[in-house]
Amino acid sequence: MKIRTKLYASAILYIGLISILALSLLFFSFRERKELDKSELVNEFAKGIAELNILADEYIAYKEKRMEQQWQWKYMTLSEILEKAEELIELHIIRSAFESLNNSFSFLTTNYRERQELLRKNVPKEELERTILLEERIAARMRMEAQKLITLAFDVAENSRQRANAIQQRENLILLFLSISISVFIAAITFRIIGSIGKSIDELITGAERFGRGQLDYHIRVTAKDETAVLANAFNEMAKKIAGMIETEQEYTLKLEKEIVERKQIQEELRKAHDELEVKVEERTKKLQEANIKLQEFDRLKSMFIASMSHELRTPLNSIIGFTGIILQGMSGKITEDQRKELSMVKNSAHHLLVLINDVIDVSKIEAGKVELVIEEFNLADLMQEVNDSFKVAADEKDLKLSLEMTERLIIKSDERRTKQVIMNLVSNAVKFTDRGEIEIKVKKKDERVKVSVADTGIGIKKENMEKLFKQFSRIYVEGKPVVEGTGLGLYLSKKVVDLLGGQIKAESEFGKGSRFTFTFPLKYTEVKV
Amino acid sequence: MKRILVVEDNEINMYLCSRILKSSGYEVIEARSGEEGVELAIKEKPDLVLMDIQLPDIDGLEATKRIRESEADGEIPIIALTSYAMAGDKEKAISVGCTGYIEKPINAETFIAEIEKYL
Repeated sequence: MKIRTKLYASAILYIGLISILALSLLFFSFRERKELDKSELVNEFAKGIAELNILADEYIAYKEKRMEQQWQWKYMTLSEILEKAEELIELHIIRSAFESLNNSFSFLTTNYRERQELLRKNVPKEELERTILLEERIAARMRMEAQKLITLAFDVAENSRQRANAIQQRENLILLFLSISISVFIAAITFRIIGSIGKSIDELITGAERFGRGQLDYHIRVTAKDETAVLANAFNEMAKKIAGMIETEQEYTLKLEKEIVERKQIQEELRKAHDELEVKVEERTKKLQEANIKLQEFDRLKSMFIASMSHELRTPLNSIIGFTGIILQGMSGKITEDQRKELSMVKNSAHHLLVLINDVIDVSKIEAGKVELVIEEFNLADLMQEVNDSFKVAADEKDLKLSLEMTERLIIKSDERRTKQVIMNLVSNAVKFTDRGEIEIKVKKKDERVKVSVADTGIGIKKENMEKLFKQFSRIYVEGKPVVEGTGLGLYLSKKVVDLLGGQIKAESEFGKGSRFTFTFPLKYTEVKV
Repeated sequence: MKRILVVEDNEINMYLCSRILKSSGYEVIEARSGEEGVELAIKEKPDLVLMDIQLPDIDGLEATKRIRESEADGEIPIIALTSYAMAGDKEKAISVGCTGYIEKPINAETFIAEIEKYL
């Protein structure tokens, strides 16, 4: 039952009990009043009887009509009082005595009137005396009757008064008892309610305090089935939820801690890996530095080797070529035709070998970025003429028409030797790969650039070979023709040199009809990065 | 008879040069080092000097410089014998006072013709 219901119920109960108490008080006082009323009425009646007695005496003495009327009137009043009293109490003895008193008075009056009548009739004296005697007797009887009536009435009144007293005493006792009982009852119920609520509240307070201290597994036990139970359940539920939350949080915290530990481990591993990597990088760097030093040393050795090669290889070759020339010139005496022919072959081969060595050295120099350009002004016309002259003999030998077309004298600022190298290579190729027809060399100036084109009517180049034209060691083999002498480095080297000079080289060809190589370079060399 | 000073350390090359020159009727003075070349050039006053660039002591360029410094009257034509591989040798040779240059290898057919240009 709810506390509110309990309190409401107990309040209603208290009101009911107090009402009962009040009602019983009312009831008892009513009963007491009734008894007291009875007593008063009867008392009043008794006093009235005494007055009636006096009136009767006065009437006997004076025999006045007025007194008779007074008596009658008093009798009526008393009769009314008696009637009222009779409503409360059985008073037939008093009633009959009272009526008997009235009868006596009537008899008295009648007797007096008879005597008056007798007086007027002048009846004998004895007759009159008899009435007087009778009157005396009636009066005596009346006095007796009145006395009796008064005694009776007083008795009744006394009785009623005593009963009222008794009622009052009993009533007091009952009221006292009732009051005590009700008080005890109310106190008991109140204590019970307070006790049960207090117990629950104590339990709740204990629980709340324990929860507050973090003892969340505590269970509030409320035996009462009221709001405190609901409250306790709510508290328990709350504590359970909080415990759950804390547990979840703890789990989460644990998970987080675990994760942090893992992360730290990973970090540690990463750091270790990083350190190891750094050590490795250091080692590698050291090795690389060492390798670099070795490479530099190697490079220096290579450069030395190249320089040495260029000198050491060339010196004997120069001798071979020189002495072959001396013999061919007949400086060492006459030689036969066969000897001339064979010595020419020696000389050509030696020349070829020299070109080969030069090309190889050039290539390695260019690839090592060790080419030093010598930039200065030179006359292109002179250079072209030199080139033209140097191939004149070879062209004549093959019965080729070699022509040089140059409309203006051009002063170039560039590397003369390298420029010549490229043009020589192009013309040399043209002569080499052309069996009949002509070789046209044209020089044109366009804007700030010079265009040197070498066109031949030679064997031409197949389309599939065009793209490997400027690659290293690409030799063109023509079916049914002997392999033409060459290093396979000529165009590759030319391309490299052209790049160095900031120019372009381009090839156009139709297989079987001839080729045209175009070398374009700036009038004034500006440093280029290759 | 014109006299030509050949400054050349390589014995074979020296022989080659003097062989060609002698067969064409020149008198050859031989110097086997730069120092010797300078000394002989000043002392003998040849009609022409053939100067190899790569020499064991002072190189041909230095030797040319010294010869030019010592000269009071007139200039002896000094022809540098240059190597193909040494980029800039010709230019350097001209800049230090060489009159011309002949690129190795020596061609017996054209050698004399080239020399005669400077005499």
